[in-house]
Amino acid sequence: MVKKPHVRPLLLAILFLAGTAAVAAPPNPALETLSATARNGKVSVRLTLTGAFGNPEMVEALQSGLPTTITYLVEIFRDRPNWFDEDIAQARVEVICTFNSLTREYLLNYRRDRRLIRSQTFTDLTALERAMTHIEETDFFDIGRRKPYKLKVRAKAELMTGWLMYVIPWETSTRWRETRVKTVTP
Amino acid sequence: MGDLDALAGDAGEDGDSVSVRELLLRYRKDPRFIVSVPLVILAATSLVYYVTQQAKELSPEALSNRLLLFVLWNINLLLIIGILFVLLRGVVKLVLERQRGIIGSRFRTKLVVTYVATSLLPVILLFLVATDLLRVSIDRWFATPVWTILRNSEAIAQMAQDQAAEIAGGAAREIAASPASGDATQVDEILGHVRAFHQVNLAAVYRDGILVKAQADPRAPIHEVADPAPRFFEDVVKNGRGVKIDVVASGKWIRTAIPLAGGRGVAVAGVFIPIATSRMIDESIIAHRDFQQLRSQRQTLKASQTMLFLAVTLAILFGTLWTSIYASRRITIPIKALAEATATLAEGNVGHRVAITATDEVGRLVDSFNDMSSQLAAQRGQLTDTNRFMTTVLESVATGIIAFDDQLRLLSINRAALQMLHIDASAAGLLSDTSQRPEAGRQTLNDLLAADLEPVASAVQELTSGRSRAREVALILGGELRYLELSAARLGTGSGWVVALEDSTQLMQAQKLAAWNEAARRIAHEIKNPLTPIQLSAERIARKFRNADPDTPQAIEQGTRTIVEEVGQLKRMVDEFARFARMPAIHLRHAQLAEILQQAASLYQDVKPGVTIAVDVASDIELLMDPEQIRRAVGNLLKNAVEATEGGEIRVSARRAPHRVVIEVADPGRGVPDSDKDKLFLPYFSTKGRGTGLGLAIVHRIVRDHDGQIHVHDNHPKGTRFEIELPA
Repeated sequence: MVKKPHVRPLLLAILFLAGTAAVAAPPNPALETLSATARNGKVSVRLTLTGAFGNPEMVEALQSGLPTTITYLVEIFRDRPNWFDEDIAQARVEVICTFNSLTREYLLNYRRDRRLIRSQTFTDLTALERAMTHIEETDFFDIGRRKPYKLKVRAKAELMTGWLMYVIPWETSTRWRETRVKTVTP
Repeated sequence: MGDLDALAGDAGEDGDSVSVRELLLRYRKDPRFIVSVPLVILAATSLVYYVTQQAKELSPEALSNRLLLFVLWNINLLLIIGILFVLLRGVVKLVLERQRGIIGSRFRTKLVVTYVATSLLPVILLFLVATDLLRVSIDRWFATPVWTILRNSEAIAQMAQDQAAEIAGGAAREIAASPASGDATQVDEILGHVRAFHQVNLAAVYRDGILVKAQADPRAPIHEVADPAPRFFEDVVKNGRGVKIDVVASGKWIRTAIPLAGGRGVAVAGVFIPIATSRMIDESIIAHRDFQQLRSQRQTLKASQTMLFLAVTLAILFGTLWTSIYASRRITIPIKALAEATATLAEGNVGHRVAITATDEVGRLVDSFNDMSSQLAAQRGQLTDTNRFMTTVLESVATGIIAFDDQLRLLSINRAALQMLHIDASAAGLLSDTSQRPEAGRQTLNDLLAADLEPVASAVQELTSGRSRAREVALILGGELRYLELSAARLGTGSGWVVALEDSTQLMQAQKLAAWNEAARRIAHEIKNPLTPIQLSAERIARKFRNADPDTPQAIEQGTRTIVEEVGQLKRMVDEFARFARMPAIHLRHAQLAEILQQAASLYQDVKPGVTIAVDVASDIELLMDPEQIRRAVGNLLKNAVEATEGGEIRVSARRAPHRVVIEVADPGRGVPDSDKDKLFLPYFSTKGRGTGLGLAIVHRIVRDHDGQIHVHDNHPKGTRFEIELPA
């Protein structure tokens, strides 16, 4: 058998580099959890975003005091397997954070469909991250007399705008994630 | 556009419903409008650039705000759409024009491609280099020591605040640790002690978010700062510590809170930083913050600058493309008009003018073309007049004229020819001038000269083949025998023939009648001559026989001999007439003249003592002729010359003359009187008192069959000289 002394180190080096690159690369933002529960004709939604603050550019933008926004698009629809889905309602939730470097406080504005719902001040970055990535909306959608088990909720998060070749705007966003609405008996 | 809208408004007020679209369609070829559109785009781009330059003074947020990016992005999008539209429209139009074979489309394509290629390459190269340089410059900007200085400065400022917070934290921790802090009667003492020991400006105790007791430095403006929010105290209890920084008018308060043991409240201690110090701290922090904001926005900044460059580049490209298409159209319009006018001229529409005004070289070309067209029209008018004149002449002459090309397609036939040939012009679909008819519609000569006219067609073919130059044709038309004399000549253009027809029926009949009269007279005379000796011999034999004279046998023998001789003379005379009547048609071919003349002379050499024949002919004279007939004609002349000459030399010579060859036969004989010279070539005319008088008539006929002429002159010092001129 002919010995190939260079093949194995080369393969190991490639594997090492690939592994290092995978470890070094920031995790892609994704909606880790998404749940929807129906009670009394109202649907509550809970979702969790991960990997949003793994991007150093986002952290840098946040620390610089620029308004940093995470936009959540949430839609509820009737799932029809052999036909087009029926859109029932959709909502847009924006969490906008602005850091005040003089007071070392993070001001978080929570908006729904362009309307300000609440503002919070944080001094702790961990608490801020949690507030920005954990969304819990009670009675989010009104489904009336629709049967909840036929409904689904899908959501995605849009984080920040990048540029492709400095010319084409490129939105960093998660994939759509969907879940079936569960019924909770009162 | 404003003008257009104003115009549209005016039109609307006048009651005329002219829309902006109609005005655009009306003015879209107006050079001012075409030039103004790229200028407006360039001005708009320049305005955007100016605004962007001014925006450099604004905050980074404003510079890279979404509105500016949105505007730039849309300008770029519009420009790209505009370029694609103009490009595609131009390309589609050029392709369609090329497919339709419109003159000038290829030239326009080359012009547009050259324009675009010469502008596209440098502009794109400039864009790439400039944007790359810009991006490198921005990266270098953020890599400078400024960033390090600002970051360190901000760290020092934060450290100062941290130190103050730590001092306040120590004081708050001591208050929280003191058991007396929960006692309302002792808390004042503790607060005063801690404030004095730790040299803080504020010492306080809160319970359930409400101030219980506080001691403050009278020099510090405690009234400028409000109590922390309840959520702050909740976070303090939850996290075990909390720091709150408040910026007030006089400076900055840094307060640190520690929960009291046993959940009895929260101890708060604060340090006040006066405005002079806090401003320096804040300025360091703000400078760092602004720079950091700019740094975090650098990708957007690069994008906005790149898009700005792109907008300018696209505007230049748009303008270049528009201008190139417009300029190519401006250049090719007169050329296209010229080419179309040339095609129109080629179709025969002389006098067509190019109605385009240009001041450059193309303008001079247009003027020259118009002049040429006018001259052609004038010349064509003259030609038409000449043609009309010639047509009138042709129609009025009694000679039939038929013109046709080398493919025997009829070019023209006049009325006389139609009448001679009994052709119904309308039935045959002929015009008097068939050259005006379309090429495909021309009849061939064979179609026209069919059936009864077949002999004419054969004669024409013989004439055009060069076998003869003139032919007589006898044919029966309308039940009558008609005689036509045909002669052919090459058309001046060298590609066709013209055949002239003479109706010689009456002439022939008259000639025949005259010939018959003359022949009858001559025959009567010639027959009478031998008849007299025959009659006398017969009468003598009869008288001798009646008288039974003894010399009757001698008289019978003598008389019969005389009768036989005279009858033989009559027979020879009849044979001569028969030969004249059977004159064969000539058959032309190229032959050496010298050889023929030598052969003719050799027949009569040494025929008569004292008479010699000298031949002087250049050996290179070659002629299209019937050698046998020419030899016969010259032989007849030599025969007459030998008979007329008693002694001396007969000269036979030939020489070249313009377009002909002249053969001379000169003898030193007795000569011909002037009164007989014009009758010399008539049949049956003789000055010799004997013979048939057909010799010179035969010579004349042979020469005429060769399209030649024969003349008789006096020879010097004596005798006769015959000149035969044959075409060369």
